[in-house]
Amino acid sequence: MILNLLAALCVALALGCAVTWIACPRTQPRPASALLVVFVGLGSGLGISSVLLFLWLMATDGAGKAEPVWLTVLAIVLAVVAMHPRWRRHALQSSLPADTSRAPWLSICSGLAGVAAAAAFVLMCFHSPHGRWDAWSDWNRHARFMFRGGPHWRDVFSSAEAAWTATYPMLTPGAVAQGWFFANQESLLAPNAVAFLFAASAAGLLTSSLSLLRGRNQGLIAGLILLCSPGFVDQATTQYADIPLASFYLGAVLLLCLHDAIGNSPGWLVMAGLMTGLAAWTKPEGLVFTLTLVLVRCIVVGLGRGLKAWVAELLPFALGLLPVLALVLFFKFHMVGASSYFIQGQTQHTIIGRVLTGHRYLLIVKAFATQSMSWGGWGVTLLPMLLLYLLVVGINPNRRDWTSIGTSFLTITLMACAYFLVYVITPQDLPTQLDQSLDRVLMQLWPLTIFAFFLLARTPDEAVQEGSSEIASGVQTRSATESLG
Amino acid sequence: MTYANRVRAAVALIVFFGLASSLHLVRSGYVEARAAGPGSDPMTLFGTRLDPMGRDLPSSGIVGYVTDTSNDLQNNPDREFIWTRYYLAPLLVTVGSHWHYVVGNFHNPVPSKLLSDSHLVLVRNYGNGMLLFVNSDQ
Repeated sequence: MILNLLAALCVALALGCAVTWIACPRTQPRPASALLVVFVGLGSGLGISSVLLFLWLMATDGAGKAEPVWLTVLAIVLAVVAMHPRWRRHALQSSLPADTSRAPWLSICSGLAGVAAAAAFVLMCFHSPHGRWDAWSDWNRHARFMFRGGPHWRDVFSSAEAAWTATYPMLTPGAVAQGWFFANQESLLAPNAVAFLFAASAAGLLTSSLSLLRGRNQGLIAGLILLCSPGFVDQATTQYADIPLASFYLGAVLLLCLHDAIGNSPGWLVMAGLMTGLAAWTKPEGLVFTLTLVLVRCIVVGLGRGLKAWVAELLPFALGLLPVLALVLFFKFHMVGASSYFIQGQTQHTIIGRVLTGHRYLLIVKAFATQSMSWGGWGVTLLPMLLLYLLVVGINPNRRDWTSIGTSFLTITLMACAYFLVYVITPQDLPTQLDQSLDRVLMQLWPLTIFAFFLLARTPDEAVQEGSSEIASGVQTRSATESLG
Repeated sequence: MTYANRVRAAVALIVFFGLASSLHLVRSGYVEARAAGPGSDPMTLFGTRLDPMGRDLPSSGIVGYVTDTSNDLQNNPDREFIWTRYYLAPLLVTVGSHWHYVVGNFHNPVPSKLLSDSHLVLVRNYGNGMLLFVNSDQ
């Protein structure tokens, strides 16, 4: 059974890596480049396999037993296509900076952080192998309908369930059910493995992309901060969809940033569109993210390079986005009804009444501030510490990174504003809702926030060299050989 | 302290506090795991209680659910109700006794008034407060 589950994960990984390999240009023969393909492939592979399972169940009226065979064949075919020399030939001369930074102690510490996070995840899974409330009531229950339901797999969206079941999209349930179809039996290993892999994907994406964009040490520090955030590991063990969503948010933005840094190939944009679509297939917030990201790129690219440049990048982005978005809209309007949890049963009058209630804003601002001050769960308050770190190392001086920095920060800001607005109009009891969901909602943006922060911050090596060259200005160039290690 | 050393110290501080936090996380994970090892968590134990009844129920459709743990399951579902829905999927489990099959989950002796008012007839008692009823009106 474990081997079959492993096979499911390997097939998803092969599928995602093949698609990424075909779509994205090679950067440099660095380990970070290979790792980026693996981690983009991991998230997108789990997402694509979930989409394909859903379509299969739709087409066969719930008869999913043969689906693993076809998925395996598809993964093999795509892997063979990806190995064709044609895809190796489109390697391009990278405009990424050469990275000579090496700090073995930092690699060791990051490795330790990874091992500790994995160990903590496993130990916490022993304690709560079924995850937490939403995993039982929605995510894994939906996976059970997909696996056990046969022709009744859609009963979970029937009117009898309307009062109980959130009409969430099906990426996480699909990924879990996919594992069960491969194993031909249910096992708690599948939801736990999916939760673990999405968390690993977020950490891997963060480390590898920043290693490419800003140097290896910068990537390692960023990855270490994410892996050492107890809230991140804790959220992963809940088996909710917030960490997968965080992984797709990060993936979409970093692929756009890689496009900004490398350019010349629409492949990054296609994959960014795919990751955005998969975010929309994960949770309803993903649809907000889709609109936000399109708007942000319109502003940032439109202001920087003109609207023509934005339209030119929108087309390949839409190529990756639209197939999954079409499925999300079909699901939303055809299968479960389009009503939103937050506006359902509310009149225009009650919504306006909430918008005009100042007390609600105070409550929300207070909750956001409290979360921010205790964020991360470190022994020290993390956000002031990061600000202090930024003051010491300084700001990234490379102007070519400013489109990426603008994209990242504007996306985070607008998403935070959207979440804020949702709290303003929520029909639920506001303090309860804030108490139950704000940490999860902010965790969706946490990996992206670390990414944006380390895009903005000067790398330690840049800072050390700059400092050394200022001291020894005009005397020696020892700064060129000095580094963090 | 030179600027270069300040930068090194800043990185070292981040790494130190990060690893300290990781260590704390592993420790608390260990304590949690010791408190309830695999298979002994409340949800798994509840699943074991419910399992025999699951075999006697149809594989799809809707069944009712009655309990003595909450007076307002509709608005404040308790975790055992959510667990029942999870374990019996793809069978739909809904609050009330207006269905042919009704799952009973009781922690105290079954109130006879509930049975008579709802026209419930006991089909089987699985022990541990798990009872299967049929509604004679449905």
